Amino acid sequence: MDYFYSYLILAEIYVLLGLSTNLLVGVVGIFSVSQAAVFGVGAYIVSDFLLSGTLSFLPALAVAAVACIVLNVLLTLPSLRVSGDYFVVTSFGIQLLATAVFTNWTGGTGGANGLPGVPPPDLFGFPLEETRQILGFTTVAAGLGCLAFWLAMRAPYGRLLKAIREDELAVAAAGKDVLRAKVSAAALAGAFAGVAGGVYATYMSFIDPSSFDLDASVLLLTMVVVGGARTLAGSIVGPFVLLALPQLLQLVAIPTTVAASARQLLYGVLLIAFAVFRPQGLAGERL
Amino acid sequence: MSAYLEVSGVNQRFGGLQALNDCGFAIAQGGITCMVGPNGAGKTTIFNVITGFLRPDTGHVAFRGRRLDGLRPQAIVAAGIARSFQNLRLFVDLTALENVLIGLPSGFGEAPLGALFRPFHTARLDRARRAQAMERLEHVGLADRAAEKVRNLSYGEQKLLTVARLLATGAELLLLDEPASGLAAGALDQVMALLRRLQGEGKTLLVVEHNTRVVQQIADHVLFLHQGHLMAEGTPAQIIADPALAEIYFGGAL
Amino acid sequence: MILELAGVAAGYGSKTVVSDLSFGVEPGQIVALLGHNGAGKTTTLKTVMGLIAPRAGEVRFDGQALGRMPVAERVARGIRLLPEGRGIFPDLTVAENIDVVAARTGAQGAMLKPADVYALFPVLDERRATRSGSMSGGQQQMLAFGLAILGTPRCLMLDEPSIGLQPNLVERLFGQVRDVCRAHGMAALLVEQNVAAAMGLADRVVIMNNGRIVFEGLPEEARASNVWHYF
Ligand SMILES: Nc1ncnc2c1ncn2[C@@H]1O[C@H](COP(=O)(O)OP(=O)(O)OP(=O)(O)O)[C@@H](O)[C@H]1O
Ligand SMILES: [Mg+2]
Repeated sequence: MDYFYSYLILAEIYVLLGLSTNLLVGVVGIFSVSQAAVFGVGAYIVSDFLLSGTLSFLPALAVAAVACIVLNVLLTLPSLRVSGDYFVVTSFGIQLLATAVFTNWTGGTGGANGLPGVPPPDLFGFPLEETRQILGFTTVAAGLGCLAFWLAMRAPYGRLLKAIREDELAVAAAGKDVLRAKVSAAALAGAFAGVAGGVYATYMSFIDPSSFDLDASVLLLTMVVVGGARTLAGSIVGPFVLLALPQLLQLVAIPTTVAASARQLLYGVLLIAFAVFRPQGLAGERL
Repeated sequence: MSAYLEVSGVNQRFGGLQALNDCGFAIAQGGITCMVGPNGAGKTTIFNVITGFLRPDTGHVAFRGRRLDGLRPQAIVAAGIARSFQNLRLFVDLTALENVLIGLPSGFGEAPLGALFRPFHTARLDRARRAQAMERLEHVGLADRAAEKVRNLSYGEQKLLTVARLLATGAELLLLDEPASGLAAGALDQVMALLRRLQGEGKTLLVVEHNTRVVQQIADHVLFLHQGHLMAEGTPAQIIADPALAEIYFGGAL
Repeated sequence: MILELAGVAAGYGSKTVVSDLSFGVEPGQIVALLGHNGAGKTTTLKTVMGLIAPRAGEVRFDGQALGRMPVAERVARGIRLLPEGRGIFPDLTVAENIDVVAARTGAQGAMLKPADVYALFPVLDERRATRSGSMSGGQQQMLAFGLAILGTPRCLMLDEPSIGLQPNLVERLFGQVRDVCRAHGMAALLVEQNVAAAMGLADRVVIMNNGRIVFEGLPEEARASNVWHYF
């Protein structure tokens, strides 16, 4: 049962990340491959505060959210100057840079060894130690994230973002501030990723750079493609399906030594298959 | 007395090409001015300059006596000038109504904080905006296509929709780049009547158009651009009768 | 008949846009396909080009049913389309556009060579080295037309070729179409909103309304009969 709960918790955390990625990549069309880096920054900030005892969980989460808002805005700024293909390259570089920092800045991140012993999340002094309590918390967090995404998409704001994805110049000609809209979307996506990072770190109690590397960013993109771009349903379905797959892989007896590469292989095949045969994903629109 | 819109001494080079060459003209308030001239004369380029999409090498644009130099496109729309595009640039994955909604001046719920923290207020105001956008669609006769995705609209309907989106901005000076090309006679009459009606409602229009019949029917004043320079101006009859212009532009009767 | 449609129906998704289309074009003949915006003219041309598959009926070229023949094969046989919007490669220069298409459509003994296109629109000659996407709307349309006629077209379909062109160039373009049809026996299917000009050029007129053919005959007959309300 715990096993199933842990799947749910992780999937819900990834729903927050899926929303973040979908907002940026699916809705606005800023093709970022560095969302895992922002996720990582959120995780390390919360871990560092909790391990040093300077802040408790919720304030630390708030600081992480703000830091990731700023960070994500800075990271997406190049997209305002360089067009599509070049931004992917920029973003790719940012992700590699982040991985290098996570691995080498031992003071803040524990380096390749990671940070063990991150305390569990607590709400106003009540620690959430049981898996079921954490599940309740992540469910509420993911629920709030979904609500925010849904509200944003059905508001004029969502419409504006979709229009920007189609034709920025025409949006500017209609008298809209394209820059402000893009920056705010990056901020929103940053907040989602930062919160997801903090929750992830406290739930896992151990984090290391491998959770926030390029593979993780590609996994997030795969979730958007498989789930479906631009819809709430797509952002939810993607993480649940993709995180279920490794569990299914365990049912077929594969030696653990190849399990990790088998998983990557499966993700890769899925990404290609969906891009070719079902570009709208399971429950969304074309990227 | 300064003119309503005044363009003076605009030069624009693209590499070795002088696209605008000491381009200058003035437009009076309340009329329909047609801008004609050979392909590549610089008509679209001067539109880009007026609406802030292009900063010219030299020269000025003044609107109601106020210099617009260096303003961004959205500031120019706010000042009261909006433009349409020769290649339409509609949002083809959005519906017709949504396209017009994007054209409406910014309102509540277009920034994330309002949208997230005051959802009911946002929804209520958006309903009002939808009604407004619907009026614009009715204005151009597209009300029954409101919920259709733009990619499923015919070319003529898309043309009308660009006018509706332009109208939604509320701008008083409208720059239209070939609003009538590719329209069947019925739709063409509809667009011409619409442009006349807009003029009656107090808008000022600057229209690029190659269709001589349209120019004759709607223009109060014609500007003839050639090689980036204002070569002639006058009434439609004067321009069409000018043998020099017939030579480089009009040709025989079509 | 070089091109013949027999009971053709076509559409998008669940929607059938044109149905029961039957008409033909003889070699050397210019047929004007006219009708209001949204009547289904572009859909008809796309069906002939193989960009969408007919739902019923048959398109025959040179007496042979085309079935599901790929677009490239149709182009190789001489079916050409000047598409709505602009059929150019915007990131290539003018000369590159022309060379790429000329190479694809048979340089050997081609009916129309790059030199003919440059002669028709001298501005393209002057601007050979310009990135085509940066040219004016009308200049891009000239290039698109040039690409459509390069090689040896046997049936040229033009979807609103006059859009965005200055009046005297429209005349020149129409004149070119007429000359090539007369001299080389090329067939042309012309979709055009400038109805008077199209009827002046065409040998036959087909008028569509809401996806169906409502008139077919000579231009004189069209002018004399009561078809104007279809536009
Ligand atoms: N961004 C650009 N880069 C390079 N050249 C450009 C650019 N924009 C326009 N030009 C050139 O400037 C000249 C004027 O172009 P413009 O689009 O203003 O013509 P136009 O009068 O609108 O013509 P048309 O009637 O064909 O639309 C053309 O020769 C064009 O090639
Ligand atoms: Mg132009």
